[in-house]
Amino acid sequence: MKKILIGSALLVPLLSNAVNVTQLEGEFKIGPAIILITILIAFVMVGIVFRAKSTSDFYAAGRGISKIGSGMAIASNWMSAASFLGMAALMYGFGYYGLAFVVGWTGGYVLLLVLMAGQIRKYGKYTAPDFIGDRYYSQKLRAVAAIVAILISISYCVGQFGGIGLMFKWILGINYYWAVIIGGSVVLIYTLISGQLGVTKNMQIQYIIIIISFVIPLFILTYTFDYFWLLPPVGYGAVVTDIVNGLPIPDSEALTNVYGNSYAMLPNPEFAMPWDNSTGTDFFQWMAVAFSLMVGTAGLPHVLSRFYIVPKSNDARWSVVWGLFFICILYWMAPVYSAFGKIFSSSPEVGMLAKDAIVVYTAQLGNIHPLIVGLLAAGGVSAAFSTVSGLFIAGASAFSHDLYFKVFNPQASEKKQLLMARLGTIVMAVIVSIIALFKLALIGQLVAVAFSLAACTIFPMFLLGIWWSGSNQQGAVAGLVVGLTISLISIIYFIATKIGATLPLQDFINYWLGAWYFAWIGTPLAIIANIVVSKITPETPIEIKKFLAEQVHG
Amino acid sequence: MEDYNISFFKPKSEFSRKNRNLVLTLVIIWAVSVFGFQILLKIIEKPVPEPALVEFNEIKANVFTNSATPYEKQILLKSLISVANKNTLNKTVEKPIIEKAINWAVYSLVTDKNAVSNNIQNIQNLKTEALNISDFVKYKEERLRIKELEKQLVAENHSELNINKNDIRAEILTSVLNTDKETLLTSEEKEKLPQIMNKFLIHNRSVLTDTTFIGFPFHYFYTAVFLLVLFVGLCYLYAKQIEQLNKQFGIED
Repeated sequence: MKKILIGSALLVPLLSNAVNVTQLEGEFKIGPAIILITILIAFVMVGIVFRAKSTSDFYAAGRGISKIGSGMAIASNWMSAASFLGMAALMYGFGYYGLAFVVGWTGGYVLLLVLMAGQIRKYGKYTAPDFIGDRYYSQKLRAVAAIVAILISISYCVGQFGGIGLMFKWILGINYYWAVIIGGSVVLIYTLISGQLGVTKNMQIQYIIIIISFVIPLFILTYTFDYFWLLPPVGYGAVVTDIVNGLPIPDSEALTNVYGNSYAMLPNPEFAMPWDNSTGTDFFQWMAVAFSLMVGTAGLPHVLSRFYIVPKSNDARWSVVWGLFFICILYWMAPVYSAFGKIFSSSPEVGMLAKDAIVVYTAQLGNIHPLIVGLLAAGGVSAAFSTVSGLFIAGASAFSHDLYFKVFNPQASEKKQLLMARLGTIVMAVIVSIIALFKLALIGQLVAVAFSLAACTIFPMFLLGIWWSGSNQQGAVAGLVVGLTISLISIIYFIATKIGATLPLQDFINYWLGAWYFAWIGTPLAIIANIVVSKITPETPIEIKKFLAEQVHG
Repeated sequence: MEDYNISFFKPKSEFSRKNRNLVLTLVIIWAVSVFGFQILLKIIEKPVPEPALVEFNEIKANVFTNSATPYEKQILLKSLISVANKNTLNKTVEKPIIEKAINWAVYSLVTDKNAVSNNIQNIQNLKTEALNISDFVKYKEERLRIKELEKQLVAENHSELNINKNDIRAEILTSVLNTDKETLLTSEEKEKLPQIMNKFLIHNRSVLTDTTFIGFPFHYFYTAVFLLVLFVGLCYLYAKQIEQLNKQFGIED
């Protein structure tokens, strides 16, 4: 099977024709379409071969994945459309501010590792709500945590569906709405078929596809435009400096973008200078975004669930190290696309392009062969698929295991639970598709909402639940109420602004509780509320304290 | 009764104490490296205008009172082109004002307005037609031919515009110039123009942004490359150290 898949992938370039490279959008692209279909078939095949046979497989892949394998799965699970398409988009559009997302989406792993990874594995639960329900000895909290986990998954998936829609639109030449519906249906079918075991195997394959597709155009671009091409993440430093200082028209007339505009520009320091006025962002927002994303990383249910699938807590720790390393390979390279994209589109004839598609546009404008651009787009789809499937699993697990089985029907058979998990996945996919059609914000920004939500709700309960036995049920409820209130205020104001409604203190709230960084205040307040209320209410039961002391910290 | 209380800050065993110290050390390094550096960047930064803005500010009063000399208009033109090259310009308000101002400056400088207008029309037509060429080699050839025409247009008016045909400004200029010879800025647009120039031509700079390190502005390298290396390093260090601690204290998974 593997040989057939690899063989067909290699044959694709020979079978397909080049497309009109001067057209960034608009037509059906046969080569990229074949590449995408081949990759999707490969994903489904792998999903079928390794499909879930029990609830244990569906939720936690049988706990039989190696450290490096799990690291790759973490990376693939993590490297979503937000990483693949959204980060370059943010740097392209907002310059240095975009780096807050790069730092935020990587730095959080340090917190996750030193504060949680090993302990979560030792606690030995399947899902984040499972941990919360057990640690805070409350079925109601488990149910609320499950609902929050589902909301986080939905919020995270909206950005991914936006990315899938953009790439399907680009490849198939159809409108965005149909692209979202078709792309969303494909990812839904594949998640339903495979479950987590297949997903984990797929994630390892997806990681390789994502990295290869992302890197190849960068080698070509740095080589073509005469930079240090052997290591693009270092070589592009000169590109950034060229943007800051300006770049004269080169001697070679061949150095142009695909439209024939010279590879040259006047000084554009706003691309690299910190919190530049012209980007509409400032120092506070940079710090708040970085903090929120970092803390959110350590509170995302689908990330936390990755630690349940390794055999030992030591493996959980090393899988984070490997995962972060694999993630950083992509994150070191994403700014390269934005830098080249900046120069290629600096001519007023081209102007600001659709930010979320800048990775693909940069490759096109750099006159890279259409099939390689097609592979890049397929990589973008792959990135979104790997994350969406992980999110659907986390959401479906919360729905079936934490809500249905643990709260409503403890007698449910394994078959029934699996059915509910699949039903939950379908409902989530429909909701996500509908929200994605509204195009509320950039991919990276939409995903950041999920991070702040996780940081305000799940993170404080995990942090205090693991490290302070004094944190009790009442404290957790208080922290959750505070975190959810701040999240709701921010999200309501964000949506109101988007639909043109007027609310009191709108500018003030939109600035200080921005939808992609409200955790800067929400998280500390939720932690304080949890501590204060825990101090003035009855102590944590002795059996919970004993379990923590002996099993988690023993 | 045995005490089962757990608190990160009050470790009870030697292992917990060492683990706490390790975690605190790493978190402090992490926090200072990420947020400390950005705070430093903020503290030492200064708003620095681009030369184009300094020149614009020197001549803007005369321009707005319609008493600018041709030399001052040439300076204005160059300053405006500097902003026209920034693709973060707002397409509905800022870009149209900048392009209108460029048009006004050019047509008030050149003597043969009709010739410039006709040439621009011709170039625009050729560019539109070129987009329909499906053969990429032919398309590139056509674009090179158009580029020569653009250079020729700038060269013919060099004495009035003071822009070299091989300068990137020539390419930008011919991209934004249109055929409207009688462009005038409204008083509202005149009011907005300096605001747009200030917005796009003042940047926060310091020794950290102006120092180059392996090709990067230093602060950019630090944030985009070094911090990620540091994160991986911190994670590696923790995993190694905790492995040793587990071994030392006989703690098994």
